[in-house]
Amino acid sequence: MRIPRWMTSFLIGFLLLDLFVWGAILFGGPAKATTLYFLDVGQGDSQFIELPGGAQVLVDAGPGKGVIRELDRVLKSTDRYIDLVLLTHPQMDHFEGFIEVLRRYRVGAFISNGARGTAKSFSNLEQAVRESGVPIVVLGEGDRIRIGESRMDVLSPSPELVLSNEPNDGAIVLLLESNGMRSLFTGDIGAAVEERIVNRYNIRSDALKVAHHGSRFSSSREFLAEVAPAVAVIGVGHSNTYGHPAPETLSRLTAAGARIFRTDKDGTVRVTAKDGKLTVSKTGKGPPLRE
Amino acid sequence: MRLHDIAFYAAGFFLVGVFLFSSGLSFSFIVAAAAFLGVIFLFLGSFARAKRLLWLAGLSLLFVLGAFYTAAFVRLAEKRMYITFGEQITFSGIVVQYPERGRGQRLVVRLAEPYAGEVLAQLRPFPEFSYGDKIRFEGVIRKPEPEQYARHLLKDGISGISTFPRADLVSSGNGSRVRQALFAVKRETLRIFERILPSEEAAFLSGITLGERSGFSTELTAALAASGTTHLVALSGYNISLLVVAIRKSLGRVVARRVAFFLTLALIAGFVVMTGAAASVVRAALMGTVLLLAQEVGRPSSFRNAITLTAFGMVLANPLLARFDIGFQLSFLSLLGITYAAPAVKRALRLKDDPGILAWRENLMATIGAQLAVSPLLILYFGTLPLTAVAANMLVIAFVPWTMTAGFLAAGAGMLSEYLAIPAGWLLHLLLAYELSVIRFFGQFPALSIASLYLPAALFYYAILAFFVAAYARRPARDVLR
Repeated sequence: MRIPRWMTSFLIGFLLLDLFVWGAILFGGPAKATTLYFLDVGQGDSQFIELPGGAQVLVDAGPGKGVIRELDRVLKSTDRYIDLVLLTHPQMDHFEGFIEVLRRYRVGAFISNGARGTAKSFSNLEQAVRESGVPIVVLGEGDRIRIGESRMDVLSPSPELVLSNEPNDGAIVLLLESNGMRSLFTGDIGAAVEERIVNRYNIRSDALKVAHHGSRFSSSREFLAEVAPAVAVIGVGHSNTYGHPAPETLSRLTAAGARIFRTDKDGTVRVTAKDGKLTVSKTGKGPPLRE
Repeated sequence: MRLHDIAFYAAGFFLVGVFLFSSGLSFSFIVAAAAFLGVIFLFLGSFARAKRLLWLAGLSLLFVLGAFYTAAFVRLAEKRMYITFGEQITFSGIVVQYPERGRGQRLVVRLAEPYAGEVLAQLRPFPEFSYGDKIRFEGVIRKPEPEQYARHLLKDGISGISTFPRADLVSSGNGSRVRQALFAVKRETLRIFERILPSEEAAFLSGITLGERSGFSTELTAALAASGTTHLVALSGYNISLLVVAIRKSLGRVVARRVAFFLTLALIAGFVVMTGAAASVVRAALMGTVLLLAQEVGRPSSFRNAITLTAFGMVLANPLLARFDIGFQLSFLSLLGITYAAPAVKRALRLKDDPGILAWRENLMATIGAQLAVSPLLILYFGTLPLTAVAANMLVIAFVPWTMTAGFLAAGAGMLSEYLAIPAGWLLHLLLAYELSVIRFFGQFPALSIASLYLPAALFYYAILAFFVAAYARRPARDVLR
């Protein structure tokens, strides 16, 4: 019996699909290391965390849509699911990227500090959350997220801080412990909130996401002395109008003994913890971000 | 001279008149040239007793008509426009096209009183505006620079640009219901692609199915240009003919032929509107309709007439297309190349008639034919000639129809349930990853840079091409016996 041409094409296609699926099964095992990606999203913050077992958390998503391009580089091309997305506080340079993330990815849950943003684009975010049907979880000081052997403690905000007039003070502060590595994510908090946290918690960490893009009103000497990070990463945009990161902050970080990385010069920064070892690499500048 | 010949020459002369006037030749010059030509035809016609030439003499009037029509059209458009340029003003308008969403938003806004005309507003990506939104702006409208860009916008009816004005939504839903519904389908389709694929693959798929290029990165656009594959994402006859065949096959058994015919027309019209009525889509849709009609009515369709009348119809609606719409020119030229140059290439290369595996022979002919026809224009407009075009196209073209079909099926499945679209996403990922790697691979070879092209050189080239086509059009019998 002669096999018709269309059947040959179909069988070849089927065979390729088969190989692809088996490849994914055999070689696509879940991660054993903990990896933090400090994404280069311009003048803004976004960190992507990969935990042992494969769980993924996206903390903040920067302004505009830059986060999508970075996620394409970091995620496997068939991975269209992110377990948790967390918005530290509703400011444009932290939440805007979530609009596209919620449209393009399936998300397990959307975590926020409960505050509403005032930027015009915030309504687009609310609409995107609504349309995606993703459950919303509001967390505050004292809450904890446990994923496998890893855990994320919420050190801030207290209810008073969320309701205060300063949105930055209401930012969620996370302490992640995973694979022996401790990392601190500080949102945009100022020195006052830093002092409050210092007085209540042990915040010694290996990696620090520097608060408020390296502003001189954050990262106080006392705070940095308590954290004593080996690696400090600043999410900042090239030639930003705020003067971030401030030179004073950079010298305080150096004095605290930290190795400084910044997304405007180093691109997306990757920090990996495995078997008690910490490795840092820069994935380098992608194509220039044009405004 | 037969009626359809008269129609052909009349339409053709009209088009030339439009083109010449749009190119800056003065009206009086065109009248003089038409008169001169007419007299020559008259003389030759009377001496050679050729009625055809006498007819052509009379039809020379149409050069003038074409030029006049263009002049009147432009004048009318100018009268209808009232914009204060270069000053900080408050203006409002309605979004009348599907917004382009790339790194930012580009909205085409029809101005409301006291102003009149259409402007292009460039905004940040968020907050997002949609078709039919009435927006109040505060900012500056400036005249587009440079002149080339200004004319390019003018042919789309846009007279000014406003960059990052302050924008506040006044109301929604001010557009046509039909377009709103079609755009909703388009938006849904694009969203489904974005959910099942990484962003670059989703963008490329959006380009080949709906001609949506606003999400392309600069690198992808450059790679497409350098590898000569941009036409894949500029909707053309490909999509329309696939659509027509698919619809006819699926409807053929279910409904009566007449009904199927009108339904096909309606769906094509819907597709054209949904994709923003780009010149190449409209051209393909019109030609497809003409050929469909010919089949229905039972008359043998003349390709020459179909293409000329299509061009005539489009230019009647917007005379500025002929000279200023690159897509219009490229799509017609490539169609001519595929129809006339490709068979000549086939005979010159002595290719067999059998299309071959994945229709490689057919694709090779078509690719070479199209490239031969559009190369001078590519050099003229972009200053480069993609040398790897044939290779890149040959490796990709055969898979594009499959990719498009899978894309539309995925979109359809996705509208029912997201989970149905996921396996389609895997298949699409395989196809798209392959196609994009070919495009990126060939795109890295520098295209030949040709700084300038002289019009006489281009005309000479086309003359040689026409000669080549004619030479291989019909071989005398004795060559076969050799």
